[in-house]
Formats: sequence, structure tokens, C-alpha cells
Amino acid sequence: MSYIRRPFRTSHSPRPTRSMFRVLAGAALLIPILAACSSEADTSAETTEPSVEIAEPGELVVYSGRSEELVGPLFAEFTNATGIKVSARFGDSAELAAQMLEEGDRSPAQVYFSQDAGALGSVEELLSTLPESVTTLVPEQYRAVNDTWSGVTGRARVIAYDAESVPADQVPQSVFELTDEKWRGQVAIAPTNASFQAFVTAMRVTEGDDVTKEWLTGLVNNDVQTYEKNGLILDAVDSGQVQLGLINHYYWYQKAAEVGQENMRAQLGFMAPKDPGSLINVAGVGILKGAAENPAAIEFVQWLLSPSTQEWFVTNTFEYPLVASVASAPNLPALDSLAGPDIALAQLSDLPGTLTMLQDVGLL
Amino acid sequence: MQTKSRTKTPSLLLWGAAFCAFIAAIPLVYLAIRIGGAGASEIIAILSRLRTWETVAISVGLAVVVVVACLAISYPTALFLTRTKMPLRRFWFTTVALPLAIPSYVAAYAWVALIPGMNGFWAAAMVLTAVSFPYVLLPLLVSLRSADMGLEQVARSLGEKPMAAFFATSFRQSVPAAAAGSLLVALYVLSDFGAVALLRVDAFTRVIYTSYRASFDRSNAAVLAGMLVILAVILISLERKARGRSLRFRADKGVASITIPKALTPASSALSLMWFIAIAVISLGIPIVSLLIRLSEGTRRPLDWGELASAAVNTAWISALGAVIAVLLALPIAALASTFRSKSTSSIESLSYSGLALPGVVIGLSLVFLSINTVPFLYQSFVLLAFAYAVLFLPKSLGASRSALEAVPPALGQVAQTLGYHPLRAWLYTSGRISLPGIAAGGLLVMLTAMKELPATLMLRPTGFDTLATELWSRTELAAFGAAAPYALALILLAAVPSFALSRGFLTSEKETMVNA
Amino acid sequence: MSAISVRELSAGYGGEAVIDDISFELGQQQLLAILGPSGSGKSTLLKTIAGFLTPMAGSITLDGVLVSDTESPVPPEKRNIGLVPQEGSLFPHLDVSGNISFGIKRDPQKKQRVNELLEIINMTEYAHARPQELSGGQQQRVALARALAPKPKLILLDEPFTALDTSLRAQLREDIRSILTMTATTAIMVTHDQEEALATADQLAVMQAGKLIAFGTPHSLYNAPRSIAVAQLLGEINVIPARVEADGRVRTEFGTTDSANPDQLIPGEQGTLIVRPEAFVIDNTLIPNATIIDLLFHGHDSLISVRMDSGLVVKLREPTEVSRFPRTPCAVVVTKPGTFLSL
Repeated sequence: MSYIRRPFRTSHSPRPTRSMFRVLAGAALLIPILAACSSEADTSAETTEPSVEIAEPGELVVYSGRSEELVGPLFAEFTNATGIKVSARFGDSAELAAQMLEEGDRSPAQVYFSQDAGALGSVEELLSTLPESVTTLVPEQYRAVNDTWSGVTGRARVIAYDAESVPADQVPQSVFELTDEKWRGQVAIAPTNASFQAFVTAMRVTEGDDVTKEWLTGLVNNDVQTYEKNGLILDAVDSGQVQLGLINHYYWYQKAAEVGQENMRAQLGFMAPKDPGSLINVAGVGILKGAAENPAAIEFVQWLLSPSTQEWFVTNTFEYPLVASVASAPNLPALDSLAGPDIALAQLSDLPGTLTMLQDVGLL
Repeated sequence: MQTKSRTKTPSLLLWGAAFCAFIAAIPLVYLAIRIGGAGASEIIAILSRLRTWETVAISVGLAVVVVVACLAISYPTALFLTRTKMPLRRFWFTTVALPLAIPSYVAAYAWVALIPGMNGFWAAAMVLTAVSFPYVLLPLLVSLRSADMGLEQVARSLGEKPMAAFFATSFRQSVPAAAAGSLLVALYVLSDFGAVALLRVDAFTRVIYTSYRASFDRSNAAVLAGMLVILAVILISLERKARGRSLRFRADKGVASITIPKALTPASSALSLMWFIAIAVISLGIPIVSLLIRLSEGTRRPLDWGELASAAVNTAWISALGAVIAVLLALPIAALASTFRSKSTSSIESLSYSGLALPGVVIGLSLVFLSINTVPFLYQSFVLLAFAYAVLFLPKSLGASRSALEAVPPALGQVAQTLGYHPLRAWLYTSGRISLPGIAAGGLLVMLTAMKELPATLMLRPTGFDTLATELWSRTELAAFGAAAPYALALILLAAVPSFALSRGFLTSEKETMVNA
Repeated sequence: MSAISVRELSAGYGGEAVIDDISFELGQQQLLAILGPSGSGKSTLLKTIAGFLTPMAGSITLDGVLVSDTESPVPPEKRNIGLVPQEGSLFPHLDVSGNISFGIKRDPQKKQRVNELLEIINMTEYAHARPQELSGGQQQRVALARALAPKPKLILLDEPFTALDTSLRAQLREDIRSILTMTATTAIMVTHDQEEALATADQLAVMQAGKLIAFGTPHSLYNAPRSIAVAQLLGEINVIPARVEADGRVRTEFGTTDSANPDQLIPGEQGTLIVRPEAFVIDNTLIPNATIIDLLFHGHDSLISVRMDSGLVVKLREPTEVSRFPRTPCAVVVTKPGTFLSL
């Protein structure tokens, strides 16, 4: 007879607990799937009211991809001027877009103020058509085709160069020069940045996919330096890490305002007017479907495009106003003179294609 | 062999723990749904792209290097602190956890600000090691302090030199602690985005973030995030193996010989001091000095003290709330895992760990999705944000609670039962009460990490609610780094409080569990 | 009525029985020592009595009330059975008074009871000491006081002296014995030390491989063991070939002697005689029939191994006034009856 001691196990059969666990796990997986189904169902049916807390009248919920530091004072101005309280949620334009897509119908957002056109394009399905009073203010190449969003301010793609090592007349006038041997390892780009991606998309539209891919490959072969953000590129050029960098124009002006223009080692070069490198991109705004009739939302958008606000942008962020009657900052080349490649921003919708190309060449 | 005398796993505990683990696995559920949305051809396209695997290799390589570096730093440090009479021992003890107060993105930014050209794999490895080695050092300290010196002494008597004796005995005992800490570090490195982005490393998280930010196709991004989860599962099972293989050296009679610190020669003392100073300089000194320099450079807009203060207050209480929820959620799982070892309990435990590998953006989106579809009234509320922290950092509380509970002899609970206490009360009044310091340490760790959290906070916070991390982030978006410095310093200062408490807790917590010393 | 009655009890883990068919009864205020080697199932029996293990067969009755059977056993917290584990297991976060009063928190007479017990265990001045400050023996006494506080029907002690110094053990044994008597508590004590078992118990149970192989008073079990196994577990024995004579006495090479169990003998039977070392005497007035091989000095006596001329090796115990030397011849005689066991 053996009284072998086995390692401790429950003296009752362990099977009941195991199967309990399986049932629980199964139920656990079921619940969110049901939830997902219900959300699909909801979007197809007519929603009478979002079940999220609605902003009170006299309050506007804005999802802003532009930072609080930058536009916070602006929103405060709006409240002063109109009495409408702005409840602003600040974040990265693309992450906010993803969040809004995830939120779907029940998003508390009423207005989306984005840093770039690409993010606006991605949430077009959530936006309502802007009223004529707004769309007439801005030239059509800076608006969505179906008028679901409008640009508010323009930013030019420029090339920052290290003035200490690059004489002004040697600065490339075209992006195609950047694959030249003499700039090996000295060119900085930010492939994860939306502005750069918009620029590549524009290049694909005007020059075609093959040329663009060749150019990108050329950059990679020329040891192009990649950075996460435009600001970091500017810092790199400013400290002599690299000689050239592709950024948006206003970064330079903002940094110059902070540290003093005379202290800026990096300087800006604008490329030839028809060159793909001189794209004008926009920060823009759209009204979500749920707030289509909301007078506060419309007033907000109109206010962004009003002359006073546009001037505010000119003096505070150094961006280009898009409303015809307002002049751009005196030290900036005029917007029309830049022209940029002849495309409307709305054409830059094939972002996925650009990303695939960037991934294929190894930049992403 | 110690056997526990319960006749069966209490079903209430099992259900409770399973529920908590399910909560922790919410991001996984979200991923599963989104991956389900991606077509098979898309998934294959993603998986067959060479670049994807290149970045995976870089991330894994980075994790390996950082773990090895952390171990290389932690073991000598721990030995110096626990086994020798090095100078200023008490002081070093209280400061060991401080590097945890510095978020990885702040450290990276501080280094880049100081040495502009700094970038690349090794730079990232150094920065990440500098801010995460306490995850390995702290459990190691606990383990070595409570190690049974008797075994080492036996080995010495058998002719082994001190180092060899150590490796043959106490080292083995320290493996579970080192493994647990290494797991946390590895998962942290895998999920980190801020530091690798700033230091321009082509890590896997970058691919995921690009996917989310640029393509807005959450299915693709989910597939990529799913790959991270698989990596995490592999790591978790490796840690489990490392933990399981080493025997539990709790001496049967419950008596541990007190460690007798060794006196050092002046040369060795100097060496030990240099070692510690070097670590302090690299992990704390240089980043803080760099930030102070930036601070002194000034900024266009003067510092709004009110804004800073309100952000600091917000940071403090929301992270505290998140810590409380995390501890409560982790407790049933920890209680289960420390007392009953079976297949279901270890799977419950593993489930709650896997979310730690995911970047904050995934966690954030998963909670957006789930809360807006199931509890919309909670969307963008404080409760949800605190809950997000709990989900994100549950494993940290879990590890600490489990270790603390495991150290309590089961006989205590039995005695309490014979004295008339219902099993749950018996557990609460004995194991629960005695492991309170360890459980609190886990809570502090969660609170500390929650203070630094960024992506999920951005997505889930109530509109207008700012933490020091979000304020810091919004200032680095522009090239106005000078404005970010005060917030970075404030964050470090605030996070230093729980770090400090953690260190002090370790100094005193050991006494209560050993009675027969 | 007996304090505890165990009937045909079997229990174990995961379907395998560790203890099998255990039956015994213990009277009120008696101390039962369960003696057995490691692995004999003593702890399992204790756990089953305490209620941490459900029996696979059999029943346990306390004070006439059924508390344990295979159906729905009474949970440990309701049995009113005290437990003193091997290492005392005092609650480290409470002081001595806190530990002692742990089970009687709701009792309005709490303070008196604690003081009472502190006096009984003779540790009144340690009322507020922390467990970490106490010696092993003190901790055990506090653990006992803690178990006694709620006036349990039965106390279980799991090898309570194992972790202590030998010099303290004897004293502590006596202390605990007297505390139990003073408080009129029924107790079951598990031990693997035979000296302990013999010294403290009113009743003695011997376990081996999960079965109860002997139950009775220490005296009867020691002097008239029913099997060699039991005899060995209770002390040194000598196994001497023997034969039952026609008159009921037993013949061995030492001559014909009485036995301790004459009524069980069948004349003519072959078997062995179990003789304790103290039953021998060296008498050098007689013709030597043995040679001394070895001496083990125990202080109060010596254990001397001798080889009989027949080749049989015998151990005998002798007071140490007389000096003995190895390799000297001597004469050995049996002076007390042994137990005869048939083959």
C-alpha cells in the first residue's frame, strides 16, 4: 500500500474552477464585441442625442491640434469678444483625429482645429459642410473639395540652412538638389511629420510616383538625417549638426522671437515657386456633424477667419493669413509670390499611398 | 515541502481575481477587435515588410541591452549597499529610487539639450538605463537583505572564496527578484516612445505611432501593437521560468541569519563612492543640470505660477487615485497568485502583465473605444483617467503585492482561523496587515509612473484638465524648450516624493516579517 | 463523554490518502502525544482535526458533537480548537498582549483574561513586548496563551519544542504541561521525539506510514509494546531470540525469565523477547559471558554495548558510578521482564 504524498492539489476536483474560468473568459470577450456591434448599429441608425454630456449653450467644445501655448490666448480672446466659453481639448492633430474616429457619433467635440490638412482630410466623414459665409472667405485651393473644412492659416515649406557654413547663394532652390553628393549626410527631414508627408504627397501629384520614389531613394542613399519634429530639425541646423533642413517657415520666426533674430545661426531659404519643395500647407478647421447647426460653432469658425484674428496669427505665429484682405508679416515673402506647386490641398488625399512609399524606401 | 492547508481555491477569490485581470486586459480586447477589422491581406502585407522586422529587432535589441546594463549596475550597487559598510550608506539607500522620478522623454530631452548631436541606439540605451535601473535595483535590495546568509557561510566553510560563495548561494536566491525587475524594464523599453523618438532610434514604437498618427487606420496599427503583445507574452513567460526554477529559499524554520556588513578598505571605500557618484551624476545630475540651464535661458512668456501649481496639484491627486485603484484591482490577483499556484492563476497573472508592453496610445484608444460604447457618462472623466492609470500600471502593483504576500507564513492565517476568524477576515488581519508595507510600495510605484504618463492622459483627461506631463508636452511641441523646463523640473520634484518614500519604505519594511531573527 | 473521538478517519491530498483508518478516543483534560517519524501523517491528522482538511472517510466528534465527516465539515473558525504551530507563528505586527487577545477581541473580560494568561505563562512583565524581542521559548508560551485565550475545547500543538535548544526544552515541557493542567485543557501534541512523548503525555499514540499502530499509556506502550516497530519508536530495544516454556516463562540465552505479557504466550512458541537496556545488569561476581564493545556516556547513565559469547550484541544501560572499559569481559544478566513477541 502506498501513501505517496502528491504535491498539493485541491482535494475537490479542479475541473469546476477551470471551466468557470473558461466561461468567464468567453463572456469577457463577448461583451466588448457586443458593444462594438451596438456602436456600429448606432452609427447607421439616427441618433437623436449623443449620450455624452452636451456642452451647455454658450459653451463650445473644440478639439485643437494646435497647442495651448499657441492658441490658448486666442481662445480666451474669443470668449472675451463673444461671451462663448471655449472648452478646448489639446492634443496632437493626428491622435485627436484617431480619437474622434474612435468616438464616432458620440464624440463630444463640436469643432476640430487641426495643425494640418491631412488630419482634417482623414475625419472628413465626421464633418459637416461649412456655410457659405465661411467658404467665401478663403480661396478654394485652401479648402476641402466638399467644403467640409477650411484652411485658417498657411505655412510654407522652406529650407533652413546653417548660415555659418553655407553661403546664401549656395542654398538649394529646388528639392531635387538635395540628392547631390555635396549634401551627403547634411540634409535633415522629419518623415513622421504630417507636413513632410503632405509635401511628399504633393510631389507625387505634380511629379508622379516614379520621380518621387526616385528622389526619396536618392535622399536615403545620400545619408539623409531623420528627426521627429520640425522644431528639432531647426535646432539641429541652428547648432550646426546639419547644414540643411526641410521645415515649415514659422518655426524659424517663433524661435527667433524667443532667442532674438540676431542669435539665429540658421537662416531660411525659400525655394523656386513651382518647385515641389515650396508647398503651402494649412492649419484648418471643421465643424462636426453633430454641431452643424450650432451658432456658436459657426461663429467660432467665422471669427478665426476674421481680419483681426488673421492679423493676430500674423503677429503671433508668423503664419500666412488666408483671408485676402489681410497682409502677411512684413519680413515674409508674400504668399502669392510663393505660389507653391499648382495643386489644391484637397488633392492631397492619398496619404496612405505616401506612407506606403515612405515605408518602402525605408524612411518610415 | 510546504503545503497550504486550504482544501480548495475559494471560488470568490478566483472570480474576483479573474475579473480584475479582465479589467487589465481591456486593451487586449480592443486590439483583438481592431485586428479583427483588418483584412488578412493587410496583415500579411504588414508582417512581410522587412522594415517592420528591422524595427522589431532594434527594439528587442534595445530592451536586451538596457536589461543587461541595468543588471550590471544593480548587482554591484545592491551588494555595496547590503553587504558592506560603505560610506554614506543610509544616504544612498534613500536616493536609490530617485531616477524613477525622471520620465524617459525628459531625460532624453535634457541630454539632447546638453549634447546636441547625441542620438542613436547607444545613446537611447544609456538614457533608458539611467531612468529605469531602479526597477531592478529595488527588488534586488529586498532580496539580498533578506537572503539567508547561512548558506553563504556554509559555502565559505567548504573553501569557496567570498564571490564564488555568493554566486553559488545568495545569487540564486536573488534571481526571481532580478527577473521581475528585468521584466518591468524590458516592457518599459519596448513601450517607450518619447526617448527613442527624441534620440532618433528606429524603434518599433515609432512604426506604431506613425501608423496611428499618419494613416488613421487603426486596424493596421492594431496589428503592429499586437506584435508587441506577443513579444510581451514571450518575455513574461521567460520571467516566469526564471522565477520558477530557483527554489524558494525561505529557511524551513523561518530563521534567517542577519547579514553582517563587511568593512571596506579605504581604496574600496573610495571605489564604492565613485561608483555611486557616477551613477547619480549620469542618472540624476546631468539631466537636472541641463534643465536648470534651460530654465535660466528664459522664455518669451513668463512662467505662470498659477498654471504650474494647478497642474502640479492635478498630477498629484489623479495619480494617487490611479494608484489606489491599481492596488485594489491587483490585490485579489496577488492574493490568489501568492497562495495557490495553478495553471489558471498563472494565466490570470500573465494576462494582467501583457498590457504593460503596449504604448500609451493603444491603451488610451482602447479605453476611449470601450468607455464610449459601454459607459459613455464616464468618458473623459476623472474616474476614467484614474482607471486608465490603474489598467496601465496594474502589473507594478501586482508584483509588489505578490512578493509581500508570499513572504508571510501561511501558518499565521491558520492560527487566526482557529481563533474564530472567518477565512477572509483571517487573511485580512494577518497576511493583509503584515504585507501592507509591500502593498503600499506597489501603490507608490504606480503613483510615480502615473505622474509621468502622457499619451493616455492626453486622450482621456477631462477637457481643461492638465497634468505636469501634458503641460510639459504642449510646450515642447513648439521649439520653445525654455518654457518646458520649469514643468519638467516641477514634474521631477513632484515625482521625487513617492520615489523617496519608496526608498525609505525599503529601509524599514523588512523588520516586521522576520520574527525569529 | 470523551473530549474528542476519531473514528476510521482517512484524509489526504488530491485523492491520495495520507492517513488511513485512524480511530481513537481521548478523555477530558488529557494530553495525547502523537509520536511518529517524518512522513507518518501526524501533521495531516492534526490538520484534519483542526478542520483545514476534509476527511475522505470517517468522522471526528468533539465533546459529543460531530464536527468532521465527509459531508460538510465544520470550518476551523467554528470548531473552537486552538492551534500552536511549530514555530509559534506570533503575529509580528502585534505585541504580546495583542497576540494573546487576538481571539477574544469581542470579549468584555478581555483585559482580565489576558492578564490571567500572562500570569499563568509567567510573562506578566512582557505584556507589551514585541514578538521579535522574545526568545524561542517565550514565543511558544505566548503562542500557547493565545490559543488558550478563547477557552477552546481542544488544543493542538504541532511539534512545539522542535525549534528550541535542548536545554530549554525540558523546562518548557514542564511549563506547558503545568499550564495545560492549570487551565484544564485537553490537548493533542504531535512530536517525533520519543523522550518528549513519554514525558508529557497521558495517552500516547504511535503512527507509522499513515496508520495508528499503537494507542495507550506511555507506560504500557513502553513496557509492553505490541510490535517491534512500536517498541523501537519508544526507545532503545534489544531483540533476543526466545522460546516459550511449558510453564509460561520465556527461555533465552540469559536463562528463563518472566515476561511482561504472560497471558498472550503459547507454550512452545518461538519468537523474540524485547528487552529494554535498563533491564540488564552487569554482575561481575558471575562468570563473564560477554565482552564490552563500546560505551556512550550520557551523563546520568551510560549505554554500553556488549557482545555476548553467543555473538549476540546487546545494549544495556547502567549508572556511571562504575567505570567500564572496552574489551573487558563482563557478566550480563536480565533483571526485568521483557515483552515476548511471536515471529
